[in-house]
Amino acid sequence: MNVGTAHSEVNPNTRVMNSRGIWLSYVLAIGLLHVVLLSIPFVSVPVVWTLTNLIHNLGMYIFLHTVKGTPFETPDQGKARLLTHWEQMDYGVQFTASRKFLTITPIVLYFLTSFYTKYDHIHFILNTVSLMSVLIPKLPQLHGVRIFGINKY
Amino acid sequence: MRPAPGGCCCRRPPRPNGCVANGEVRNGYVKSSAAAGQIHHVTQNGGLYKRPFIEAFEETPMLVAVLTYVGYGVLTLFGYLRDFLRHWRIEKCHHATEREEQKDFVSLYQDFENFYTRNLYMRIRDNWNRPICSVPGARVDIMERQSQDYNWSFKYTGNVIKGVINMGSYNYLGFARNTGACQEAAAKVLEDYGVGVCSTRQEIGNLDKHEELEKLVARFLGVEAAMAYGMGFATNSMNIPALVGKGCLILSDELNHASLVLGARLSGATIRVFKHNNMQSLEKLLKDAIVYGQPRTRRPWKKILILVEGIYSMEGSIVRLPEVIALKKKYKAYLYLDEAHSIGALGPTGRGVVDYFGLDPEDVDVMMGTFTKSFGASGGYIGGRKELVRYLRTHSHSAVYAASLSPPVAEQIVTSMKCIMGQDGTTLGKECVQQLAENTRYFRRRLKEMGFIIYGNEDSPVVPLMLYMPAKIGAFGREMLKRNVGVVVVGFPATPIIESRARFCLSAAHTKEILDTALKEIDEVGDLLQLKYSRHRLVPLLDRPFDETTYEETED
Amino acid sequence: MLHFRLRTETSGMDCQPFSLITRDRLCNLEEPTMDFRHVKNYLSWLYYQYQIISCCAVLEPWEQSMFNTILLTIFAMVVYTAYVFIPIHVRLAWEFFSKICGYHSTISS
Repeated sequence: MNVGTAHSEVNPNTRVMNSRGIWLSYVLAIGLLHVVLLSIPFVSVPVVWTLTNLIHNLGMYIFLHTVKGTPFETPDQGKARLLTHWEQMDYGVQFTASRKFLTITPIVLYFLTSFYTKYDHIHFILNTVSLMSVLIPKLPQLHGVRIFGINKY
Repeated sequence: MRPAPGGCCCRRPPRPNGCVANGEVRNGYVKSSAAAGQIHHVTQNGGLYKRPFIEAFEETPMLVAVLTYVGYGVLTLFGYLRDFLRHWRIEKCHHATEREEQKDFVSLYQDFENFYTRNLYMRIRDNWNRPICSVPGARVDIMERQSQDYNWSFKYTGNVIKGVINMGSYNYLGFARNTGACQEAAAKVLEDYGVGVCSTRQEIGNLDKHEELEKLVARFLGVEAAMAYGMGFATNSMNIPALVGKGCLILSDELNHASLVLGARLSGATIRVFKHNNMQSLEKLLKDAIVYGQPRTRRPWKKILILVEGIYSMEGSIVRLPEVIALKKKYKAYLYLDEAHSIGALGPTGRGVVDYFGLDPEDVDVMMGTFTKSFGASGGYIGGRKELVRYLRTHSHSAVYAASLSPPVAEQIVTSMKCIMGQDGTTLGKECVQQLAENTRYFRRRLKEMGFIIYGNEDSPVVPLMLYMPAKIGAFGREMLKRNVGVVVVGFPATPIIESRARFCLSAAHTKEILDTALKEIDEVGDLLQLKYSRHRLVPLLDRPFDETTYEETED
Repeated sequence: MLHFRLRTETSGMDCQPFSLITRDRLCNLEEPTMDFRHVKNYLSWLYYQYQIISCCAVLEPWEQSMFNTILLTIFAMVVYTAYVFIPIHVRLAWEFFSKICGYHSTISS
């Protein structure tokens, strides 16, 4: 029980994505990742864009849809212990502003990547599979669903 | 919709001088643009507020917010790395793990829930739990400790850092002393009664000291009767369940203390949270509660209880009591006021937030407070009508099961309260109250002039200074201790993720010289750590940086 | 709306040079030999700010070295790439826009 708290929010994880400046930080982080990958020598621009897309989607999948629970103790005796961060956001209310933002960003990145890779076949397949892996868990129908029991406990 | 910055948040067109039209109650804000382009939000609601209510919460600068997330991101990545190393035994594991034989059982320790503690808190842990070895007055002695393994364990060097300026103790009126009238009276009572009571109030632990104390508290507050308990936290958490139950509605402020939240949850009543100090939010909830009743059955609520605090200790804001009382009378709800930090600290005679606004104590149904802060003792009290206190004597868990106040502690409270009321024949109490008010105004003004972001009301003796970045939390605490000033710093998850702060608690025991020294050191550390974020762009009070929509846990 | 601006670092250049190790505060800058010390103090203050903002200050020394190495490598790569490629991009963009302006001017004439 946190005694000296400045808020009566039971699970602060639900409000992290609505805090001031986090959307901007997120976009800047993607930009920074892209610039760093661009500076690697002997790597062509399409490969860099595909790498950006893949790394971004992999990071998003791990942090939003794999890691469960909260990194701190909450006063509700672990109600959210089996929920991923995406499921915890805004206490499970769907279609909030942050959820829409986090759904649109991979799509925008996908469009940019497809453009810069000139719709090449292999790049297209990789990017689409990666996009699907990050969009499907965000569907409201898959809230709390664990396919084949993966990541259940 | 959020009003545009610079827009007026009134529901009816304001008059230029802020008066109410034909004396009716109004819930609007009048913006008067002061000199130098600063936007001061002074609420003057004609008949409701007798003095200007100036509260400011400056918005986080965007660059600072982005850099704070960068800091947390770096620490999180390194936390994962260290956890990986600990898991594969490349590094020694200091935290609690199960024994080898129990590895296949259901896990005893939630490793991930300790992630923050292990990887962020441990790195700056030396700023908390500092052992003090003297009375926590204006200056305090702290035992020096060192750590060889990055704060996992501490060793005492044997030195004592003497005379550290104490900006962290809740010693508002300076009664935390080991000399003087209070200490002599308490020592005498100690000789007569001993320390332990060895019983509960209901059994055989009801001393004449307790009766004397309760009569005095009732007279101090201006209520019919009062009851005193041994522990402030337990007063809230054990008495709210005695007052409300299933079928009742609790309207609780967003930033209420954990004791109020715990008491509300233990009671089993429905809890609805209104935005901090936001009367529009409270009124909307009251209206909805009365119009729609209970969730499924639509029956009327048995009781509606509004839980607010006098001073919110982490924000430094003062409750808008006149408006709350007006709303409570209009919608016929009950009011529970927790004056833990405001009793003794506010008001011209030190009688708390009711005195500060010049209101009638009989309007507040349950007045709760603690003796820990302004009276230099421990324990809590509840004051109200005779029937309420009589009911609580038999139905409150604290009264029935908890041991009662220790006699020397009760005597300390009695003596300090008499001093504040002026009944001991001196003007010491009045001077302390005035000194605290002067210290508050001076300290806040100087900090604002230096350019720090300070939250809260102009008259609140609790001063949160914003730090924002995680590394600055540790650095601020350590640098201030190096310069002989002891402060309390708070970070995530106790505060919202970007709003970590240092909290100063002013005291009447602080002389102007002590405050000047402390301010000089704060100035220096502020330059060193680049903490002077303020751009003097005060956000209108309704535009506080909280979300427009807050989602709550649905009740199962 | 995004409101942010970089604070001008004027407080680092005032007469209180920063020193982590010693707490002497020297305010006189008249002697020319003091300039070097002043610059050194300012640089170490700047490094301290970087450590505080990126949370290096609370990391253990080996973590700090690792973080600094990675950051320096990335920074070096970015600077090198910028040095090599930005003139080419600027030239191409200039040609592109001058072609448009040239097209407009041929249309208008």
